[in-house]
Amino acid sequence: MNYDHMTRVQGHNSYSLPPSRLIILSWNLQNFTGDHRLGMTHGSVDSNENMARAAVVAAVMQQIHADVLLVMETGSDVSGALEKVRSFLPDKDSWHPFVSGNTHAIPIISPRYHFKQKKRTLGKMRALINLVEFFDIMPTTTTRVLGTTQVKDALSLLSQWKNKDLTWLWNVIGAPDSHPDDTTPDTLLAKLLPPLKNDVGLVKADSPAFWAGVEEQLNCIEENLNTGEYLIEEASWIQDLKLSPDKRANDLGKLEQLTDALDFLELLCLMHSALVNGHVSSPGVYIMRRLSEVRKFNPNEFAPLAACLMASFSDLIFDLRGTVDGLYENKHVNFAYDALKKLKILDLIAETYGILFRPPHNFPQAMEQFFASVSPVDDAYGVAQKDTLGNWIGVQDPNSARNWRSALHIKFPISPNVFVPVCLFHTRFTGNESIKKQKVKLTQADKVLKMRAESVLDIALWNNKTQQNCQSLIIGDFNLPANLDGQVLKDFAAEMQKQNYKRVGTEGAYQLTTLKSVKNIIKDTTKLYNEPYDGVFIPNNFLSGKGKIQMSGARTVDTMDFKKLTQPYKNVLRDAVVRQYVKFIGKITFKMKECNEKLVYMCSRPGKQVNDPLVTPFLDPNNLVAPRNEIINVGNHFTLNLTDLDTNVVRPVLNHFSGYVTLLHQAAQVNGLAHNVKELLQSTEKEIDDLLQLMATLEVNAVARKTVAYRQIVSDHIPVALIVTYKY
Amino acid sequence: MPLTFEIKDGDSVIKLSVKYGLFCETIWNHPDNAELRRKRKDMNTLLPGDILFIPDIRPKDVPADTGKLHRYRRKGVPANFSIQIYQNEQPYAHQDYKLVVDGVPYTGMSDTMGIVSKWIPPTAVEGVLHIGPDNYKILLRFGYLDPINEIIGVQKRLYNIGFHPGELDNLMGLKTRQALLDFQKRFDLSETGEADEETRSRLEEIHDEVNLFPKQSSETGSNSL
Repeated sequence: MNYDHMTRVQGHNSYSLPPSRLIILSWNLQNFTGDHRLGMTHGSVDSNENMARAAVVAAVMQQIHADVLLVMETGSDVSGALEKVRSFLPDKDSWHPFVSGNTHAIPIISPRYHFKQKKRTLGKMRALINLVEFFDIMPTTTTRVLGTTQVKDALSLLSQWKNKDLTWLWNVIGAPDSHPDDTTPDTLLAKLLPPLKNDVGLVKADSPAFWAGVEEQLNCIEENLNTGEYLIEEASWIQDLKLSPDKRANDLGKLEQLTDALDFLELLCLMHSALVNGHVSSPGVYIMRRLSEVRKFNPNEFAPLAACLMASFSDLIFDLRGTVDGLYENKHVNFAYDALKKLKILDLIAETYGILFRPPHNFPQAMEQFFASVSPVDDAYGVAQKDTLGNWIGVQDPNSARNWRSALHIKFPISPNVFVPVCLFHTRFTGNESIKKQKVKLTQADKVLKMRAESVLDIALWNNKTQQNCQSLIIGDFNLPANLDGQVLKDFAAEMQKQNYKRVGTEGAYQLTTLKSVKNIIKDTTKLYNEPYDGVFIPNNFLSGKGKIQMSGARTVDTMDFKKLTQPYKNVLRDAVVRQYVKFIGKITFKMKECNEKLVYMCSRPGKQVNDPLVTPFLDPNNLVAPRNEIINVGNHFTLNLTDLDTNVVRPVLNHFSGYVTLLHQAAQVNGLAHNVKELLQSTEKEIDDLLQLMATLEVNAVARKTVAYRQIVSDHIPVALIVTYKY
Repeated sequence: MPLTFEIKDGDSVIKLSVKYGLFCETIWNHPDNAELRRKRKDMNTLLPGDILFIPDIRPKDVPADTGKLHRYRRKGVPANFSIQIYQNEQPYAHQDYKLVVDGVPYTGMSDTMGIVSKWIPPTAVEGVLHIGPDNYKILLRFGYLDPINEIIGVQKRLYNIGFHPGELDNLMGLKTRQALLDFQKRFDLSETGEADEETRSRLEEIHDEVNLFPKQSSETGSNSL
């Protein structure tokens, strides 16, 4: 590979070699539009809060001259988020956004799904409908046939959805809680048809032509009962019936019941059809095709099938990869996940990775090479799933306790013959049930820690097996402390060493996070960062010994340059601090009110001689909101002058509360109540003191303010920055 | 017969002078090339389409005795090709190199400024420079640099020093503007995205002269919230 370099033959020329370095910024940004873990929403990607977030990310990227942004994000909005970040970059056209496929392992349906939950049936039903719309569903047991109990449960669920009384149906086919027998949908159909035909016979005199059609269909079903070749499409007579409310109104009673019966007959037919006709047989497996390929999508039509599926969930696995066109469109993936989660069948949080890559300016072929390297053909790109022998790696193996998300493997070209291979990896934080039940002599916490460590080890092993000549950096949020203390982590470090990996030393900087609570962040800004979960594992002999990580570690929030943020986004950050300040004030007010009420109660007890006057301002409710104006002033001041805070403006709020606390104490003393309410007063005073201290810290400590703003708006992780240098 | 010659890609006065048996100064300083001299500062950086007047060879009488052997030395001027290599904006100094021009290899080591300098035939069209421990290969196309006062000249210089202007098409497209912005930002110039005089001058200085990249202005610092 070479470049054409246009020169003068006589005279001086210059030439810059392609860069030999790559600056990478890796950032766990959680979720822009919503946080599954906290149940929080941040609004749309275009909300002021998210715009501020993207602006901060872009500012940091510019600050360190990043070439690559690697983003871990637990949601379907990665592409929108990347696009937003890109929009804040001055040379946005030079940046190319990429979004990974979904990084989850094949999810496994819970062994037993208790579908008899009564609440939110409609939502669950819709969730199922959504699910079957988008994904192939493969029963693992080829010989499985729905039992009566399951069919009845499905019918029961459907009746809840339709708000129908199915007494008549249970009379015909047996109550749902009756002892299960070996009957199948065929048997149930056979049981249902005779009374239906009988009912039709009774009402057909009113509309002979119409009911003759219904009767004919019923006969047809009966005839084909053994072949399974009945209703796959909604029959016209059912449609006619549904479209004839006038008829139903005229024949209330029997006719209405008959309509319901026909509805459920249709259900039974559909359920049976789904099992017999809806599957495409192949040796050892049934595959239910996307129904929308067969039928025009109509949620109502899918309800019976959804119920059917629900009834037979216990033996199904969902193949969420590779079988449906457009599967990697995250909206679909998350749509299905949401459906599964609503049903409490899967406990999944979808996660994808995002990349912003700016190819070197003087390496015009970089993008071609990048695409060449990410071609699925050579298996160089994508989520690490299987080793060279085709075996699932641990974090993707359906049978592994670590069955979870995997790493994204990608190679960044920095010059014609140099690629920097990277595995971006976000390990699971919490353990799943199977991990907790593991019979090993470890605490629950250590079991989970071990699981996280082994997840990283899985990726290291995968690298060793598939990328022998060029092991990747493993970058991300490992949820593992950097100081590998404790036996579990020591063992892990030893295993990683065997795989030729070591965690990068911090070289004077610390790998930092802001995972502490806001309160603790403010309490002690010198100990902000004690949970260094984000980091980098580097293979020995990286890039054949020519690669070097020149710098690693996270940037501290206080070194982030937010100066370039335009005012609206600065305001968002500052508002976050104001909100925290106001929150503290609210807590103080509440505590004082609580204490005051206790005092008043003590004073009003029979026989209690209250010294007169009871000097407490709290007896007047207006006094409880007295600091309101000061709070508003402080809020405005925070917003306008947070960079250079004038504590003389802020201080009155603290003084106000501090004065109240003193008065509160005095009131208790004067009235001889201090002893009686000693415990309450002491604890309240301490809490108020703490809060006042926090507020005071916010006033005087710019790092605290900045970190609080960052923590609330941007992320509870701070980015890891590295410079990968290649020595030619 | 004198002729007017339309410059094509790769042509330079020094190359044509060899072809037509003239000194390059003879061609360049000819009164009929006054307009071209005014337009182009450097005789070896012409634009395709430029018209160069090439005068006739001037006969020269040299007295010589008959019956004797006489030797005449043709005056030829080799071209002094020089290229300064940067890596990460630092001179790629003290690196072994092999320069192959028209099949003839030249070897050496870049100097402390990262410069590789060799006398080569003025007629050279292409060459290959291998440099550094990895034998990094650079394909050289001699005579293809265009004048700085043309967009294409700006584009090629930007390209050479690492600011990719997109297609080298002599058009002021988006990518060229972005490359100019990057260049202006890098060298603390007014960020206009235009190839203005200040920018061209700085670009010429960086590309066409022995130079060093100035230290990058730091963007570090923090503000308070």
